[in-house]
Amino acid sequence: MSELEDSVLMTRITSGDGAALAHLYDRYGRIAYGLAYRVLNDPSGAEEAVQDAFLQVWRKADSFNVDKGAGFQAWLLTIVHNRSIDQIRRRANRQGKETVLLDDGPYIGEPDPSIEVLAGLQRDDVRKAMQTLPDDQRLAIEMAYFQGLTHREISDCTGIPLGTIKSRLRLGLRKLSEQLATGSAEHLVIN
Amino acid sequence: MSDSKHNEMQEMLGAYALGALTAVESQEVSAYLVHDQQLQTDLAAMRIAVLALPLIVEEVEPPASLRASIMAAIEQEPRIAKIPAASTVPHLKLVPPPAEVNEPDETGSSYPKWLPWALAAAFLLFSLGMVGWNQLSDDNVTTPATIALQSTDPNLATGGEAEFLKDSGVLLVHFHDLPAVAQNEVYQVWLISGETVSSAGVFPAGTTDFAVAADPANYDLIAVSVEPGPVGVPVATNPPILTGDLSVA
Repeated sequence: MSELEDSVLMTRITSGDGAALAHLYDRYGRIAYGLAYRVLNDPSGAEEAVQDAFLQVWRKADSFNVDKGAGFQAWLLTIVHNRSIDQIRRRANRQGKETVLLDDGPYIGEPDPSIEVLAGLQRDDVRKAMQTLPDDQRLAIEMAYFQGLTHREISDCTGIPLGTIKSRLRLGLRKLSEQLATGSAEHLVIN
Repeated sequence: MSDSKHNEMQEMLGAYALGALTAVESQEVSAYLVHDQQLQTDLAAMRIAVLALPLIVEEVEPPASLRASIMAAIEQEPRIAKIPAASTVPHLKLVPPPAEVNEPDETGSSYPKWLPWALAAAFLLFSLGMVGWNQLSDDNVTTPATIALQSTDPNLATGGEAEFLKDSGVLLVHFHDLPAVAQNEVYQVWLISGETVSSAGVFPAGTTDFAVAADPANYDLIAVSVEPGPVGVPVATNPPILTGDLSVA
Protein backbone atom coordinates (compact mmCIF):
# COMPACT_ATOMS: atom_id res chain seq x y z
CA MET A 1 0.00 0.00 0.00
CA SER A 2 3.00 2.29 0.38
CA GLU A 3 2.84 3.61 -3.17
CA LEU A 4 -0.91 4.03 -3.49
CA GLU A 5 -2.09 7.50 -4.37
CA ASP A 6 -4.18 9.52 -2.00
CA SER A 7 -7.18 9.19 -4.28
CA VAL A 8 -7.02 5.42 -4.17
CA LEU A 9 -6.71 5.42 -0.41
CA MET A 10 -9.67 7.78 -0.12
CA THR A 11 -11.74 5.45 -2.25
CA ARG A 12 -10.84 2.60 0.06
CA ILE A 13 -11.82 4.67 3.04
CA THR A 14 -15.31 5.06 1.59
CA SER A 15 -15.54 1.28 1.81
CA GLY A 16 -14.64 1.40 5.47
CA ASP A 17 -10.99 0.47 5.05
CA GLY A 18 -9.34 1.61 8.25
CA ALA A 19 -5.93 0.55 7.00
CA ALA A 20 -6.22 3.11 4.21
CA LEU A 21 -6.84 5.88 6.75
CA ALA A 22 -3.90 4.65 8.77
CA HIS A 23 -1.74 4.88 5.69
CA LEU A 24 -2.81 8.47 5.08
CA TYR A 25 -2.01 9.21 8.69
CA ASP A 26 1.46 7.72 8.26
CA ARG A 27 1.93 9.86 5.17
CA TYR A 28 0.61 13.18 6.52
CA GLY A 29 0.55 12.83 10.28
CA ARG A 30 3.78 14.73 10.86
CA ILE A 31 2.85 17.76 8.85
CA ALA A 32 -0.66 17.73 10.30
CA TYR A 33 0.67 17.59 13.84
CA GLY A 34 3.34 20.15 13.01
CA LEU A 35 0.68 22.59 11.81
CA ALA A 36 -1.53 22.04 14.83
CA TYR A 37 1.42 22.41 17.15
CA ARG A 38 2.52 25.61 15.42
CA VAL A 39 -0.93 27.12 15.92
CA LEU A 40 -1.59 25.85 19.43
CA ASN A 41 1.90 25.40 20.92
CA ASP A 42 0.32 22.67 23.01
CA PRO A 43 0.93 18.94 22.45
CA SER A 44 -2.41 17.71 23.78
CA GLY A 45 -4.34 20.34 21.88
CA ALA A 46 -2.44 19.46 18.73
CA GLU A 47 -3.28 15.79 19.24
CA GLU A 48 -6.93 16.63 19.63
CA ALA A 49 -6.95 18.75 16.48
CA VAL A 50 -5.24 16.09 14.40
CA GLN A 51 -7.52 13.33 15.70
CA ASP A 52 -10.58 15.44 14.94
CA ALA A 53 -9.27 16.09 11.45
CA PHE A 54 -8.72 12.46 10.62
CA LEU A 55 -12.14 11.60 11.98
CA GLN A 56 -13.56 14.22 9.64
CA VAL A 57 -11.68 12.62 6.76
CA TRP A 58 -13.19 9.27 7.73
CA ARG A 59 -16.70 10.67 7.90
CA LYS A 60 -16.58 12.74 4.74
CA ALA A 61 -14.45 10.49 2.54
CA ASP A 62 -17.32 9.64 0.23
CA SER A 63 -17.82 13.28 -0.66
CA PHE A 64 -14.16 13.91 -1.46
CA ASN A 65 -13.94 14.53 -5.18
CA VAL A 66 -10.49 13.66 -6.46
CA ASP A 67 -11.44 14.21 -10.06
CA LYS A 68 -11.98 17.91 -9.74
CA GLY A 69 -8.56 19.14 -8.77
CA ALA A 70 -9.04 18.38 -5.09
CA GLY A 71 -5.80 17.89 -3.17
CA PHE A 72 -6.06 15.62 -0.16
CA GLN A 73 -3.15 17.20 1.69
CA ALA A 74 -4.58 20.68 1.28
CA TRP A 75 -7.98 19.47 2.43
CA LEU A 76 -6.58 17.67 5.45
CA LEU A 77 -4.46 20.62 6.53
CA THR A 78 -7.41 22.97 6.14
CA ILE A 79 -9.35 20.80 8.56
CA VAL A 80 -6.41 20.63 10.97
CA HIS A 81 -6.08 24.41 10.82
CA ASN A 82 -9.78 24.95 11.40
CA ARG A 83 -9.85 22.59 14.38
CA SER A 84 -6.80 24.28 15.84
CA ILE A 85 -8.26 27.77 15.47
CA ASP A 86 -11.52 26.51 17.00
CA GLN A 87 -9.56 25.51 20.09
CA ILE A 88 -7.90 28.90 20.32
CA ARG A 89 -11.23 30.64 20.10
CA ARG A 90 -12.85 28.34 22.64
CA ARG A 91 -10.00 28.96 25.04
CA ALA A 92 -10.24 32.71 24.52
CA ASN A 93 -14.02 32.42 24.99
CA ARG A 94 -14.51 34.83 22.18
CA GLN A 95 -18.18 35.44 22.66
CA GLY A 96 -19.79 37.24 19.80
CA LYS A 97 -16.65 37.06 17.73
CA GLU A 98 -17.38 33.96 15.78
CA THR A 99 -15.41 33.99 12.57
CA VAL A 100 -15.72 31.95 9.44
CA LEU A 101 -12.75 29.90 8.35
CA LEU A 102 -11.89 28.46 4.98
CA ASP A 103 -14.45 25.79 4.26
CA ASP A 104 -13.62 22.37 5.66
CA GLY A 105 -15.38 20.70 2.83
CA PRO A 106 -13.70 18.96 -0.05
CA TYR A 107 -13.41 21.00 -3.19
CA ILE A 108 -16.49 20.26 -5.16
CA GLY A 109 -17.39 22.11 -8.28
CA GLU A 110 -15.74 23.03 -11.54
CA PRO A 111 -12.14 21.93 -11.92
CA ASP A 112 -9.74 24.63 -10.86
CA PRO A 113 -6.43 24.33 -12.70
CA SER A 114 -4.75 26.60 -10.18
CA ILE A 115 -5.19 23.90 -7.56
CA GLU A 116 -2.42 22.09 -9.40
CA VAL A 117 -0.08 24.85 -8.28
CA LEU A 118 -0.26 23.33 -4.84
CA ALA A 119 0.59 19.86 -5.99
CA GLY A 120 4.16 20.71 -6.93
CA LEU A 121 4.93 22.99 -4.01
CA GLN A 122 7.56 22.13 -1.44
CA ARG A 123 8.20 23.74 1.91
CA ASP A 124 11.13 25.71 0.55
CA ASP A 125 9.02 27.10 -2.27
CA VAL A 126 6.47 28.53 0.10
CA ARG A 127 9.07 29.82 2.54
CA LYS A 128 10.96 31.56 -0.23
CA ALA A 129 7.75 33.06 -1.50
CA MET A 130 6.89 34.30 1.99
CA GLN A 131 10.33 35.86 2.27
CA THR A 132 9.61 38.00 -0.77
CA LEU A 133 6.77 39.72 1.07
CA PRO A 134 7.35 42.94 2.96
CA ASP A 135 7.70 42.19 6.66
CA ASP A 136 4.47 43.94 7.61
CA GLN A 137 2.45 41.93 5.10
CA ARG A 138 4.03 38.65 6.15
CA LEU A 139 3.46 39.40 9.83
CA ALA A 140 -0.18 40.29 9.28
CA ILE A 141 -0.78 37.05 7.37
CA GLU A 142 0.96 34.99 10.04
CA MET A 143 -1.04 36.63 12.81
CA ALA A 144 -4.28 35.87 11.00
CA TYR A 145 -3.42 32.35 9.92
CA PHE A 146 -1.32 30.95 12.75
CA GLN A 147 -2.86 32.86 15.64
CA GLY A 148 -6.44 32.94 14.40
CA LEU A 149 -6.78 36.68 14.91
CA THR A 150 -9.40 38.71 13.10
CA HIS A 151 -8.31 41.77 11.20
CA ARG A 152 -9.72 43.92 14.00
CA GLU A 153 -7.76 42.01 16.61
CA ILE A 154 -4.59 42.41 14.57
CA SER A 155 -5.29 46.12 14.36
CA ASP A 156 -5.86 46.30 18.13
CA CYS A 157 -2.72 44.26 18.90
CA THR A 158 -0.44 46.26 16.69
CA GLY A 159 -2.04 49.66 16.94
CA ILE A 160 -2.12 49.82 13.16
CA PRO A 161 -5.29 51.18 11.55
CA LEU A 162 -7.80 48.58 10.43
CA GLY A 163 -7.75 49.75 6.82
CA THR A 164 -3.99 49.27 6.72
CA ILE A 165 -4.30 45.76 8.09
CA LYS A 166 -6.91 44.88 5.47
CA SER A 167 -4.59 46.14 2.74
CA ARG A 168 -1.62 44.24 4.08
CA LEU A 169 -3.57 41.00 4.17
CA ARG A 170 -4.96 41.50 0.69
CA LEU A 171 -1.74 42.63 -0.95
CA GLY A 172 0.32 40.04 0.90
CA LEU A 173 -1.87 37.15 -0.23
CA ARG A 174 -1.98 38.47 -3.75
CA LYS A 175 1.80 38.70 -3.94
CA LEU A 176 2.20 35.31 -2.31
CA SER A 177 -0.09 33.69 -4.85
CA GLU A 178 1.83 35.32 -7.70
CA GLN A 179 5.13 34.09 -6.28
CA LEU A 180 3.81 30.58 -5.86
CA ALA A 181 2.47 30.48 -9.39
CA THR A 182 5.82 31.68 -10.69
CA GLY A 183 7.68 29.14 -8.62
CA SER A 184 5.42 26.38 -9.84
CA ALA A 185 6.07 27.40 -13.45
CA GLU A 186 9.81 27.31 -12.84
CA HIS A 187 9.54 23.79 -11.53
CA LEU A 188 7.79 22.76 -14.70
CA VAL A 189 10.51 24.33 -16.83
CA ILE A 190 13.35 22.75 -14.85
CA ASN A 191 11.74 19.35 -14.78
CA MET B 1 -22.67 47.08 -8.16
CA SER B 2 -21.04 50.37 -7.35
CA ASP B 3 -17.33 50.99 -7.53
CA SER B 4 -17.22 51.98 -3.88
CA LYS B 5 -18.89 48.74 -2.82
CA HIS B 6 -16.53 46.77 -5.04
CA ASN B 7 -13.53 48.53 -3.51
CA GLU B 8 -14.85 48.01 0.00
CA MET B 9 -15.33 44.31 -0.57
CA GLN B 10 -12.00 44.05 -2.34
CA GLU B 11 -10.25 45.47 0.71
CA MET B 12 -11.79 42.76 2.86
CA LEU B 13 -10.90 39.93 0.53
CA GLY B 14 -7.58 39.03 2.11
CA ALA B 15 -9.08 38.80 5.57
CA TYR B 16 -11.99 36.84 4.11
CA ALA B 17 -9.67 34.28 2.53
CA LEU B 18 -7.81 33.91 5.82
CA GLY B 19 -10.94 33.53 7.90
CA ALA B 20 -10.08 36.74 9.70
CA LEU B 21 -13.50 38.35 9.41
CA THR B 22 -16.37 38.07 11.82
CA ALA B 23 -19.32 35.91 10.77
CA VAL B 24 -21.37 38.99 9.88
CA GLU B 25 -18.58 40.50 7.80
CA SER B 26 -17.94 37.19 6.11
CA GLN B 27 -21.61 36.82 5.19
CA GLU B 28 -21.58 40.28 3.68
CA VAL B 29 -18.59 39.45 1.53
CA SER B 30 -20.03 36.07 0.53
CA ALA B 31 -23.28 37.64 -0.56
CA TYR B 32 -21.48 40.29 -2.60
CA LEU B 33 -19.09 37.86 -4.28
CA VAL B 34 -21.94 36.15 -6.09
CA HIS B 35 -22.25 39.22 -8.30
CA ASP B 36 -18.62 40.14 -8.80
CA GLN B 37 -16.65 37.87 -11.10
CA GLN B 38 -13.46 39.87 -10.71
CA LEU B 39 -13.40 39.43 -6.96
CA GLN B 40 -14.20 35.75 -7.35
CA THR B 41 -11.09 35.41 -9.48
CA ASP B 42 -9.01 37.39 -6.98
CA LEU B 43 -10.31 35.24 -4.14
CA ALA B 44 -9.47 32.01 -5.96
CA ALA B 45 -5.84 33.11 -6.23
CA MET B 46 -5.75 34.12 -2.56
CA ARG B 47 -7.19 30.79 -1.48
CA ILE B 48 -4.28 29.04 -3.17
CA ALA B 49 -1.91 31.13 -1.11
CA VAL B 50 -3.83 30.31 2.07
CA LEU B 51 -3.83 26.61 1.25
CA ALA B 52 -0.06 26.75 0.80
CA LEU B 53 0.63 28.38 4.18
CA PRO B 54 0.69 25.12 6.18
CA LEU B 55 3.62 23.98 4.08
CA ILE B 56 5.96 26.42 5.79
CA VAL B 57 5.66 24.73 9.16
CA GLU B 58 8.14 22.16 10.32
CA GLU B 59 6.93 18.60 10.44
CA VAL B 60 6.75 17.29 13.99
CA GLU B 61 6.59 13.65 14.99
CA PRO B 62 3.29 13.14 16.83
CA PRO B 63 3.09 11.10 20.02
CA ALA B 64 3.09 7.38 19.26
CA SER B 65 -0.32 6.98 20.90
CA LEU B 66 -2.06 9.34 18.48
CA ARG B 67 -2.25 6.84 15.65
CA ALA B 68 -3.86 4.24 17.89
CA SER B 69 -6.29 6.84 19.25
CA ILE B 70 -7.43 7.73 15.76
CA MET B 71 -7.91 4.12 14.78
CA ALA B 72 -9.84 3.42 17.96
CA ALA B 73 -12.01 6.45 17.33
CA ILE B 74 -12.99 5.38 13.82
CA GLU B 75 -13.92 1.97 15.14
CA GLN B 76 -16.60 3.69 17.18
CA GLU B 77 -18.01 5.48 14.17
CA PRO B 78 -21.20 4.22 12.52
CA ARG B 79 -20.12 2.45 9.36
CA ILE B 80 -21.38 4.02 6.21
CA ALA B 81 -20.77 1.97 3.11
CA LYS B 82 -21.94 2.43 -0.41
CA ILE B 83 -23.86 -0.43 -1.96
CA PRO B 84 -22.14 -1.71 -5.08
CA ALA B 85 -24.04 -1.26 -8.30
CA ALA B 86 -26.43 -4.13 -8.95
CA SER B 87 -24.48 -5.06 -12.04
CA THR B 88 -21.47 -5.93 -9.90
CA VAL B 89 -23.41 -8.41 -7.82
CA PRO B 90 -23.78 -11.93 -9.14
CA HIS B 91 -27.28 -12.61 -10.26
CA LEU B 92 -28.88 -15.35 -8.23
CA LYS B 93 -31.20 -18.09 -9.23
CA LEU B 94 -34.10 -19.17 -7.15
CA VAL B 95 -33.05 -22.24 -5.21
CA PRO B 96 -34.86 -24.90 -3.24
CA PRO B 97 -34.86 -24.72 0.55
CA PRO B 98 -31.35 -24.90 1.98
CA ALA B 99 -31.74 -28.46 3.30
CA GLU B 100 -31.94 -29.74 -0.26
CA VAL B 101 -28.96 -27.89 -1.62
CA ASN B 102 -25.48 -29.16 -0.89
CA GLU B 103 -23.66 -28.43 -4.10
CA PRO B 104 -22.97 -25.42 -6.21
CA ASP B 105 -25.31 -25.03 -9.14
CA GLU B 106 -24.34 -25.85 -12.72
CA THR B 107 -22.95 -22.46 -13.52
CA GLY B 108 -20.91 -22.37 -10.36
CA SER B 109 -22.52 -19.09 -9.41
CA SER B 110 -22.40 -18.29 -5.76
CA TYR B 111 -25.31 -17.37 -3.59
CA PRO B 112 -25.94 -17.55 0.09
CA LYS B 113 -27.73 -20.80 0.70
CA TRP B 114 -29.76 -19.28 3.45
CA LEU B 115 -31.39 -16.77 1.13
CA PRO B 116 -34.69 -18.55 0.56
CA TRP B 117 -34.81 -19.45 4.23
CA ALA B 118 -34.34 -15.83 5.16
CA LEU B 119 -37.02 -14.68 2.75
CA ALA B 120 -39.43 -17.25 4.14
CA ALA B 121 -38.62 -16.21 7.68
CA ALA B 122 -39.17 -12.58 6.87
CA PHE B 123 -42.49 -13.33 5.23
CA LEU B 124 -43.53 -15.30 8.29
CA LEU B 125 -42.61 -12.44 10.55
CA PHE B 126 -44.59 -10.06 8.42
CA SER B 127 -47.56 -12.39 8.36
CA LEU B 128 -47.54 -12.68 12.11
CA GLY B 129 -47.46 -8.92 12.38
CA MET B 130 -44.08 -8.94 14.09
CA VAL B 131 -42.64 -6.23 11.92
CA GLY B 132 -42.87 -2.81 13.57
CA TRP B 133 -44.18 0.11 11.59
CA ASN B 134 -44.17 3.52 13.15
CA GLN B 135 -44.85 6.44 10.88
CA LEU B 136 -46.37 9.77 11.74
CA SER B 137 -46.88 12.63 9.40
CA ASP B 138 -48.09 16.15 9.53
CA ASP B 139 -47.78 19.06 7.21
CA ASN B 140 -44.17 19.77 8.04
CA VAL B 141 -42.58 16.74 9.64
CA THR B 142 -42.44 13.12 8.62
CA THR B 143 -40.81 10.75 11.05
CA PRO B 144 -38.86 7.92 9.48
CA ALA B 145 -40.38 4.45 9.27
CA THR B 146 -38.81 1.94 11.66
CA ILE B 147 -38.20 -1.64 10.65
CA ALA B 148 -37.58 -4.21 13.32
CA LEU B 149 -34.78 -6.70 12.92
CA GLN B 150 -35.54 -10.02 14.56
CA SER B 151 -33.21 -12.72 15.74
CA THR B 152 -33.35 -15.93 13.76
CA ASP B 153 -32.45 -17.90 16.87
CA PRO B 154 -35.13 -17.88 19.56
CA ASN B 155 -32.43 -18.49 22.15
CA LEU B 156 -30.57 -15.36 21.15
CA ALA B 157 -31.89 -12.19 22.71
CA THR B 158 -30.61 -9.87 20.05
CA GLY B 159 -32.38 -7.53 17.71
CA GLY B 160 -32.32 -4.19 16.03
CA GLU B 161 -34.19 -1.38 14.40
CA ALA B 162 -33.61 0.19 11.02
CA GLU B 163 -34.68 3.70 10.13
CA PHE B 164 -34.43 5.35 6.76
CA LEU B 165 -33.37 8.96 7.03
CA LYS B 166 -34.84 10.25 3.83
CA ASP B 167 -33.14 13.65 3.87
CA SER B 168 -29.71 12.12 3.95
CA GLY B 169 -30.55 8.93 2.06
CA VAL B 170 -29.09 6.84 4.86
CA LEU B 171 -30.47 3.64 6.34
CA LEU B 172 -29.47 3.76 9.97
CA VAL B 173 -29.48 0.48 11.87
CA HIS B 174 -29.26 0.16 15.63
CA PHE B 175 -28.39 -3.21 17.13
CA HIS B 176 -28.66 -4.49 20.65
CA ASP B 177 -27.27 -7.50 22.44
CA LEU B 178 -25.31 -8.81 19.51
CA PRO B 179 -23.33 -11.83 20.66
CA ALA B 180 -19.56 -11.80 20.78
CA VAL B 181 -17.75 -13.24 17.80
CA ALA B 182 -14.34 -14.81 17.31
CA GLN B 183 -11.38 -12.47 17.00
CA ASN B 184 -11.11 -12.99 13.25
CA GLU B 185 -14.81 -12.52 12.58
CA VAL B 186 -17.02 -9.55 11.88
CA TYR B 187 -20.72 -8.89 11.40
CA GLN B 188 -21.70 -8.36 7.78
CA VAL B 189 -24.85 -6.60 6.64
CA TRP B 190 -26.67 -7.73 3.51
CA LEU B 191 -29.36 -6.01 1.48
CA ILE B 192 -31.49 -8.32 -0.61
CA SER B 193 -33.66 -7.48 -3.57
CA GLY B 194 -35.25 -10.48 -5.18
CA GLU B 195 -32.40 -12.78 -6.01
CA THR B 196 -29.74 -10.14 -5.69
CA VAL B 197 -27.77 -10.03 -2.50
CA SER B 198 -25.50 -7.05 -1.87
CA SER B 199 -23.04 -6.59 0.92
CA ALA B 200 -23.67 -3.35 2.75
CA GLY B 201 -20.47 -3.56 4.75
CA VAL B 202 -19.04 -5.00 7.91
CA PHE B 203 -18.70 -3.92 11.49
CA PRO B 204 -16.91 -5.37 14.49
CA ALA B 205 -18.53 -6.83 17.57
CA GLY B 206 -19.40 -4.17 20.08
CA THR B 207 -20.78 -1.81 17.44
CA THR B 208 -24.33 -0.70 18.08
CA ASP B 209 -24.96 1.53 15.10
CA PHE B 210 -24.42 0.98 11.43
CA ALA B 211 -25.35 3.23 8.55
CA VAL B 212 -25.49 2.59 4.84
CA ALA B 213 -26.34 4.89 1.97
CA ALA B 214 -29.29 2.92 0.68
CA ASP B 215 -33.01 3.36 0.16
CA PRO B 216 -34.97 0.46 1.67
CA ALA B 217 -37.59 0.95 -1.04
CA ASN B 218 -35.11 -0.74 -3.37
CA TYR B 219 -34.77 -3.86 -1.26
CA ASP B 220 -36.88 -6.63 0.21
CA LEU B 221 -34.81 -7.73 3.14
CA ILE B 222 -31.96 -6.75 5.40
CA ALA B 223 -29.90 -9.47 7.06
CA VAL B 224 -26.86 -9.72 9.31
CA SER B 225 -24.51 -12.68 9.47
CA VAL B 226 -21.17 -13.43 11.08
CA GLU B 227 -18.41 -13.72 8.52
CA PRO B 228 -14.63 -13.93 8.34
CA GLY B 229 -12.92 -10.63 9.11
CA PRO B 230 -11.60 -8.09 8.64
CA VAL B 231 -13.44 -7.23 5.43
CA GLY B 232 -16.13 -9.93 5.21
CA VAL B 233 -16.88 -12.03 2.17
CA PRO B 234 -18.42 -11.41 -1.24
CA VAL B 235 -21.01 -14.13 -0.65
CA ALA B 236 -22.35 -15.00 2.79
CA THR B 237 -21.00 -18.20 4.24
CA ASN B 238 -23.14 -18.32 7.36
CA PRO B 239 -26.87 -18.08 8.00
CA PRO B 240 -28.12 -14.74 9.21
CA ILE B 241 -28.57 -14.04 12.88
CA LEU B 242 -30.84 -11.07 12.22
CA THR B 243 -33.32 -10.30 9.49
CA GLY B 244 -35.71 -7.48 8.79
CA ASP B 245 -38.39 -7.03 6.17
CA LEU B 246 -37.72 -3.88 4.17
CA SER B 247 -40.64 -4.34 1.85
CA VAL B 248 -42.91 -2.68 4.39
CA ALA B 249 -40.81 0.48 4.58
